[in-house]
Amino acid sequence: MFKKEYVFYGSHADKVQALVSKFSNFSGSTLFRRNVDVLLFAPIVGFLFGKMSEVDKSKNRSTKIFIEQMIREDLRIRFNYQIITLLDKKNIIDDDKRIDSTFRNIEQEEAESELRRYNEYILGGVDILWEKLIEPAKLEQDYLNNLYDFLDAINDRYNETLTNDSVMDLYTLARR
Amino acid sequence: MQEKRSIEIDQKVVNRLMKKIILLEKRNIKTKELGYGQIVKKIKTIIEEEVECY
Amino acid sequence: MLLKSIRIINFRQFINETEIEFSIDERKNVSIILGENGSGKTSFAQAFTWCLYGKTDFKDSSMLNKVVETNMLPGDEECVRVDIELIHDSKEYNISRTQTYKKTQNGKIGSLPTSFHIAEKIKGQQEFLKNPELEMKQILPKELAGYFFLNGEHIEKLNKELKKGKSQEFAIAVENLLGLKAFLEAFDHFNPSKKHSVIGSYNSQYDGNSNKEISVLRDEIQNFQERINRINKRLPEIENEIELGEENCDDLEATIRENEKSADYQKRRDGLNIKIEYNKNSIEDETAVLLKNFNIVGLSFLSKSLINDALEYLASEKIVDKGIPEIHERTIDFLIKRGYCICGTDIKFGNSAYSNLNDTLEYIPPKSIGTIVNNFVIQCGELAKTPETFFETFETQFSHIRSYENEIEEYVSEIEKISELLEGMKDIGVYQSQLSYKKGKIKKLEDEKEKLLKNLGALEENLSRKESSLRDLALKDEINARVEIYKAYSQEIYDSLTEYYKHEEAEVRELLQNSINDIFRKIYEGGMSISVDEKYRIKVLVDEVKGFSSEIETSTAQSTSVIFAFIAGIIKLAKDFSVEESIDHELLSASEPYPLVMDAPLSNFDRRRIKTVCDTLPKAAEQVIIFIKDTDGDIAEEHMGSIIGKRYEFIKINEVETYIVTR
Repeated sequence: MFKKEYVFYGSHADKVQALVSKFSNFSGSTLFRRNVDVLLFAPIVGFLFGKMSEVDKSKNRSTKIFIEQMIREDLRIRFNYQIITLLDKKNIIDDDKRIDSTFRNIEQEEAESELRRYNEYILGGVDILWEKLIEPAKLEQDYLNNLYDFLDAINDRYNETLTNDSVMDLYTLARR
Repeated sequence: MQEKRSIEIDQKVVNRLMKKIILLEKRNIKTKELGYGQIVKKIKTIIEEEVECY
Repeated sequence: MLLKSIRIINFRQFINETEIEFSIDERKNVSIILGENGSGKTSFAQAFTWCLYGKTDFKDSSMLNKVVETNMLPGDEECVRVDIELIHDSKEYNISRTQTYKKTQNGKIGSLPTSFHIAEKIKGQQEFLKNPELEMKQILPKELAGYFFLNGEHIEKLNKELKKGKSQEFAIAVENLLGLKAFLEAFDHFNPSKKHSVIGSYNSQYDGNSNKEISVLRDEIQNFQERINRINKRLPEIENEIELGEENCDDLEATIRENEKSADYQKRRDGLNIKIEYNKNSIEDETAVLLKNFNIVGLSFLSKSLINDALEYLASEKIVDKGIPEIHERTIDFLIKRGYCICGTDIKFGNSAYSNLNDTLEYIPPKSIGTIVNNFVIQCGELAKTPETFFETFETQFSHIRSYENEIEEYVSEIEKISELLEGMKDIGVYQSQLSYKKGKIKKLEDEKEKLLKNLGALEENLSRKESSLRDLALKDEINARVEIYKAYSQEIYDSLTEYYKHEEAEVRELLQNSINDIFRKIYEGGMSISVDEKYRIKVLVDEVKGFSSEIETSTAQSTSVIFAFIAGIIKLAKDFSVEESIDHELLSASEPYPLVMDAPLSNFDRRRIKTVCDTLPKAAEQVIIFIKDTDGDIAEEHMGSIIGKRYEFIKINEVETYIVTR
C-alpha cells in the first residue's frame, strides 16, 4: 500500500524542505535527515496533536520520497498507519471498523479513504512540526530549543508516567 | 651702465680751488721745483682735501 | 721787487769793490748809470745775472778781473763776489755769490764752484736761507729776469722777432709777467687728453666696470641672504616640530607601556576565541549526535504513548478471534466449490451455509488479522524497548549544548568587553607603528636640521666673502664715487680756469694793447698803433685813414719803440695788477712789480721820442735803472732829471779796469 513514490505538495513541500534543511552551517544540522524521516514522524505528531491537513496542490512545488526509500521504510510506515488507525477513535468510531481498517484492509487497494485519512495526519504532522520547530525559529540555536521544547512538551503530556516496564507489561498482556 | 649721478658742485669750493691751484702754479713757475707728475699729484691732493672738507 | 744796491768785487772789469745804490724813492725812481760803449755796462748788467743765477753770456767763463788775476802768484786765491740787496715781498734780502779763483803753480787760473747765499734781513739780523737757489726762484725766476734786465742783445733779439713776426718771446713775456703762465701750466696739468694730468689720471682711476660687478654682487648677496633667512626661519620650526614629535613619542611610549596589557587582553581574547571555536565545534558535534539520535529514536519516543495505548487496547479488548484454526480461504473456496460442507451441509449460492462460509472467509487467513495483530503487537514490543532514557539523554545532550552556548555567550560578552577595552587601547601594534612613524619623522627632521645647518654655514661663509668683495668693490665704487666728484670738480676747475683765462687773457691782451699803445703813441707819434693778436704777434699798423690799417715795415727806431712800448706796457700792466684794488684780476695779481733794468739806447730815438721814453718808462715801472751812453746823459738829465734818484758813471781806465763813481 505504501510501496510507491510519495510526493509532498505545495506548502507541505516547502515545510518538509525546511524540516530537512540545515539550520546551521555544519553537516548534521538538520532536524530531520531525510524527507522519509519526516514522513515517519509526521503522522505520529499529527495524530498526537490531532491535526489533519489536506493536500495543498495550489502551488506547483513538490518534494518527493523515492520508491526505494519507501520500500526500505515500509514496515515502519505501515506500523505508523496501524497504530494511528487503531487509536483513531475520533475518525473511526466503530471499534470493529477500526480494527478492520487497522489490520484487515491494509493490503487492499480500495482503502483509499483510510489512506487519505492517514495522509491527512501526515500532512497535519508536517504542519505541526513546521509550526513548532521551524516557524518560530529566528536564530540557529532556536531550532534545537524548539525541538527540545517540543519533545519536552510531549514528554510531559504523554510519557511522564510511562516506563518501559509498564509498557512491557502491557505488551505481555497483549500477547496471549 | 654707469649711473649718471648728478654731482653738486659748490662754486665756492671751485673758486677756492682755482686760487689755490693758480698760486701753486705761479710758485712752481718760479721755483720749478715740481715736475709734471708731482704737480698733478699736488693738485689732486688739494682738490680731494677741499672736496672732503666740510 | 726793488733793487737796493749792488756790490761788485773784482767782477770783470770792475776791479776791487764797487758798490751802487739804487734809488728806491717812489717819485725819484730812476737810477741812471752813464758810460761809454764798452765801458762795462753790459758787464754790469751781467753782474746781476751772475749774482742771481750764476750765469752769464760771456764767452770767457772767468769773471775774475784780469788785473787781479795777473797779480796773483801761484797758489794765490782771489775772490770774485757780487752782492745784491733787494726788497721782495716786503722782505729784505742780501744775495751774494762768490767765486774763488786760484792760480795754480803753472800760472793757470782755476776756479772753484761759486758759493751762493741769500740772507734775509729780519729785525736787523741776517738770517741765511737754507735753500738759496730755491729761494732765488721765488724771488725772481731766471726766465722772468730776462724781461727786466734788458741789455742790447736782448733788445736785438726782440727786434728780430718782431721783424719776423714771431711772437713767442712776447707771448712768453706776457704769460710770465702777467701771471697768465700759471693758467697755461694749470691747463697743461688738467688737460683731459693727457693721460697723467689731473683729469686724465682720475679717468684712469675710475673703474666703470665695478658698477656692474657691484649690482651682480648685490644680487648674489641678496640671494644668499634670502636663503639664509629661509633657513633661519625653518630651523626654529624644525625645533618645534621635533619637540612636538618627541612629546608625542613620549605619550605614545607611555600609552604603549600602559597598553602592554592589551597584549594580555589580546591573548585572553584569542584564548576565548579558541574556546568559542571549541565550543562551537562541540555544539556542532553534539547537535549532530543529538539530532541523529532524535531521528533514530525520537520516533519511538513520540510513539511510546501510542504504543502504550495500542497495547492497552489490544490487551484489554480481546479481539474475538472468530477464526477457525488451520482453515484457510482455500478450504472455504473448495467447500463452496464442492458444494457441501465438511459436515455434509449443502452449500448453495445464497443459502445460509453459503453466507456463513462467506462470512467465515472474513476471519480466516488470509483474511484473519490475528497474525497481523500479533505482528503489530510484536512490533510494538520491539519499539517499546527503546531506551526510556531517550529524553533524559536528549535533555542532557541538549543541556550540554546549551551550556556550550551559554559559555559562548559569556565568552562573547567578555570578548566584547575586551574588545571595547582594546578599542580604547587600540592595538599596541597601531601605537607602535605610530611610534616608529613618528620617530622616523623626527629623524627626518633632524637630518633636515643638520643639512640646513651645514648649508647655513656654507652660505654664511659665502655671504661674508661676497660681502667683503662687495666692500672692496664698493670701496672701489666709493672711490669711484669720490673719483667722480674729484673729476667733476677738476673738470669744473678746468672749465672755469679756461673761461677765466679766455676772458682774462682777452682782457689782458686788450689792456696790454692799450697799455702798449699808450706808451707807443707817446713814444712814436705818427698815426700808428700796435696790435697784439691772440698769439701775441705784434703788428704795427698805420691808422691813417679811419678803418684802414696796414702793416708797415718798421724802422729801427720804430722797432725799438715797439719793444720799449711792449715791455713798458707789460710792466705797467703788471704794476697795475699788483695793486690790490684790482680784484678783477685777482688770479693774475700774483705778480709783483719788477724794476726795469735796461740798456737804453736812447740815441736810437730822435729827440722827441727820447722825451717820451724818458717820461713813460719811469711811470711804467716802479724802479728804473737805465744805462745810457754818456753822450745821452744830458738828454736824460733833461727829460728825467726830476725823477732821477741816483746817478753813476762808469769810469773806464782800460779794458780791464772800470770804476763806477757817483755823479
